Amino acid sequence: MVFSSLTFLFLFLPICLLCYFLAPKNCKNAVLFVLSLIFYAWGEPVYVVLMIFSTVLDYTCGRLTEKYRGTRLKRLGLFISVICNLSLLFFFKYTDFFITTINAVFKTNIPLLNLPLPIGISFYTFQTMSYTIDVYRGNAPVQKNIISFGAYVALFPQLIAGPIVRYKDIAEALNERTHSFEKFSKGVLRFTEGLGKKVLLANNAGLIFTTIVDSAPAENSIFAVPALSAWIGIIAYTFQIYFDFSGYSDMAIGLGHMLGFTFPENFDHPYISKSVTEFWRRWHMSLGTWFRDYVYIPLGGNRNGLLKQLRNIAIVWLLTGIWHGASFNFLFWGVYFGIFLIIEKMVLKRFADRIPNAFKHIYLMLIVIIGWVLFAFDDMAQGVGYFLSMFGGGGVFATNEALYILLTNIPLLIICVLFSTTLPIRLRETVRNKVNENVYTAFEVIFIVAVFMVSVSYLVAGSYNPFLYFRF
Amino acid sequence: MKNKVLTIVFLILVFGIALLQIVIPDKVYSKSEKRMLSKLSEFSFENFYSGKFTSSVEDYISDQFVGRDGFVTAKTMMSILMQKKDSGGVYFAKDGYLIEIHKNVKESQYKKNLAHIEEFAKKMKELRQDRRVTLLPVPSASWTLRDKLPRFAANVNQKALIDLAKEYDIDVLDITDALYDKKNEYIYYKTDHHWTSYGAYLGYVEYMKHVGKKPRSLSDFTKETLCTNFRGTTYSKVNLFFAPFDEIDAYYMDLFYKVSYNSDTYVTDSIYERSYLEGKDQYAVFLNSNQELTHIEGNGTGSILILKDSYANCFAQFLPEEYKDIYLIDLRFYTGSVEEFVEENDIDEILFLYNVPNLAEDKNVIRCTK
Repeated sequence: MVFSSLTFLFLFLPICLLCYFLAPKNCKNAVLFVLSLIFYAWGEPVYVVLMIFSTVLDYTCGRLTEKYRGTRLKRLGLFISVICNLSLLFFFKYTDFFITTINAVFKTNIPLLNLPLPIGISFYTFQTMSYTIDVYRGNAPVQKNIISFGAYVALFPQLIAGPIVRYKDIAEALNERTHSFEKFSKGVLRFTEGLGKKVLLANNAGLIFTTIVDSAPAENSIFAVPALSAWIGIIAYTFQIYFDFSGYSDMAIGLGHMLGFTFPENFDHPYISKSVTEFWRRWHMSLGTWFRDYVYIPLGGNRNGLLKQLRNIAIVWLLTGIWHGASFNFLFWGVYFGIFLIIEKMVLKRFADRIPNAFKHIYLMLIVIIGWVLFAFDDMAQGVGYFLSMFGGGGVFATNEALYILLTNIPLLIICVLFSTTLPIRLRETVRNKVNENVYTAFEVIFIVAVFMVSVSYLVAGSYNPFLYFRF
Repeated sequence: MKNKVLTIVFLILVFGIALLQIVIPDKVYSKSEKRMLSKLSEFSFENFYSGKFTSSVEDYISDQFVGRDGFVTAKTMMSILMQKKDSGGVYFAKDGYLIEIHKNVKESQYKKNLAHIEEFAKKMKELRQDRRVTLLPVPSASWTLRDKLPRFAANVNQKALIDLAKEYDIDVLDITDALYDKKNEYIYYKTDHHWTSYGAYLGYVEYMKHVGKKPRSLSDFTKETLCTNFRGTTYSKVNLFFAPFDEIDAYYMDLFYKVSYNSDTYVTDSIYERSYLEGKDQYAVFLNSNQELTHIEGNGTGSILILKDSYANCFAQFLPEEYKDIYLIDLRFYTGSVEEFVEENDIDEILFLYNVPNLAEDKNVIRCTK
């Protein structure tokens, strides 16, 4: 189930809130666990078994780690957890990719498994692994209650599209958390904000992109669109993926607040960055943290000389790329950013002070936007065709359709630009400081009702509402 | 205080709307969308595992959503506010026209359809050499009224599609110019995807000329306004309260002809099924919506079989004084053999009458060859 659906908003959410808040305190985790399994089973009735398996596995591994701490078997739990989780992830997500590659290279004909990818598997395997690792490192307490642990693994707000919540982030809240109007209202604001980002901004921007991709003449063997269309399209996609992904995180964080949890932040206005390094500190922060804590630093980070550091960066970005989907374009996308990070670290850092901010910003956005071309097309030929179209490969600069799309989407694109900056937040704070509290509350009520109702209108009208994370 | 207010507002929104869904009884049929609405399927573990149950719940919630029309209106208003020139697959065109968007027509299906028609026409002529088989592809509003579309709006070139049909061994009647000449008259509904009776009259004139008959002048027919509050399919997609109302007109020489549907399943004495004028699907007044087989007994000579979509329904009202027997077959619903039908009734003329986008996309044209 996805948050931006009528089924979630008017069926799952009310039932969930009712059950959760009526349940006595010591049953809340159990309620949460069951609700989360239903939430997951809604779209993945079979793979819910996998999730229960993962829960039992890491629960056991955590207990083993605790039990054998300081003995010869101290790594047993860790070992089982990492092997099993990575195997699960590899088997379900990468086997077919692997087989296809082997078939292509060695001209063999190994049949594919054609298994559907369990939704969210990349998120929950990473989360459960982080638990056992943290218990092993002594960074997180062991969870003795399997229901509470299950509630963590299956926790529906962050289940499908993150943020990647490490066990230690919510270990305390899992055992002891409070609920208040303050937290709930904070969650309401955040959730509504995310819903609006997803339904009103991301979906409409996404519609521009798909319209343009679909407008490519099908008869041509090479994918091509007019240059203007290609640029509008990829800029629209740039906004779509940001508002979709960060909107999802906002909804997750908001739901977390309602249920008494505080999840880590996941996006911090990445498009205002002035370097690739900064961009990745602001984009999908929980994934970056994960790779830093569980891959980069254990590999030695930057402590063992430049050569080792470069190797470590290369490994992390290869993995980051492939984490986003089992396909070469994602791999190249990761490598692409890895290369820019290395260049920045080794060369550009020295000149950074002398370059005007505007240039740095344009440089970053160009890299990011072109990166999204790699990301958007898992058919590489199509991606190359699209990329060439941006520089005139489509033969014409603009068609009527390109102009139509541009003219009818100017307000949307302007709003997208504004909401990519910190301007709305600063404006909100200014208003908050200027007007008295009741007036400000009235503004917030209007905001919630308007954004919520307009979003529902778009959902009811059956507008374009894609789910982007089925490959993650 | 503030926190309580925000919490309560949100809970009212979520629980309020959810409760309304439960309290308000389900509808079976959507008048504005003209289709049966989904019902909730029964829960079983089997259904749940296959995903059937969950998708049925999703369709059900979306279809039965309380205040659906109002929400669609809100979405359209929002689109207009955002300077969009289309919403829900409909262009906001000049003079209040809501015109269905046709931009990506798959030529592969269209070419298949043309090949089927070619094959069918050949067979029909083999069976009786003097039998005329004509294809009349009617351009839809987005082509004829293209001057009314928003600036730069994408639009499939329907003239080019008609020209493509001429490359086949098919007798194609091209009426794009005849319609375009009258583009400033009321030849398409403003809120529906059909042509008006007057538009269909222009088609009738061209067809008569094409088969070597003399068309009657419009004044030979009695014009009766059947209703003035028609809002059709393109209206339903945007649900704009300030959209104009359309007028549905009937043209006839004689009000009474024997019409029988689906081999005498239902026999009546008029082309106009007036009960529909009370409902929302008022265009269905012409020949009782879309029936698989319709037979009109006219006062003319010879027989004609029209293989058609709904564009033919208002076209047929001009024919009863020209032919003795007028048959209409809707291949979307007709399951019998067209060839046998033609043989049995010794049909003199055959006319394919489709609007161009539908002719290009319909997957049932193949049935004419059966």
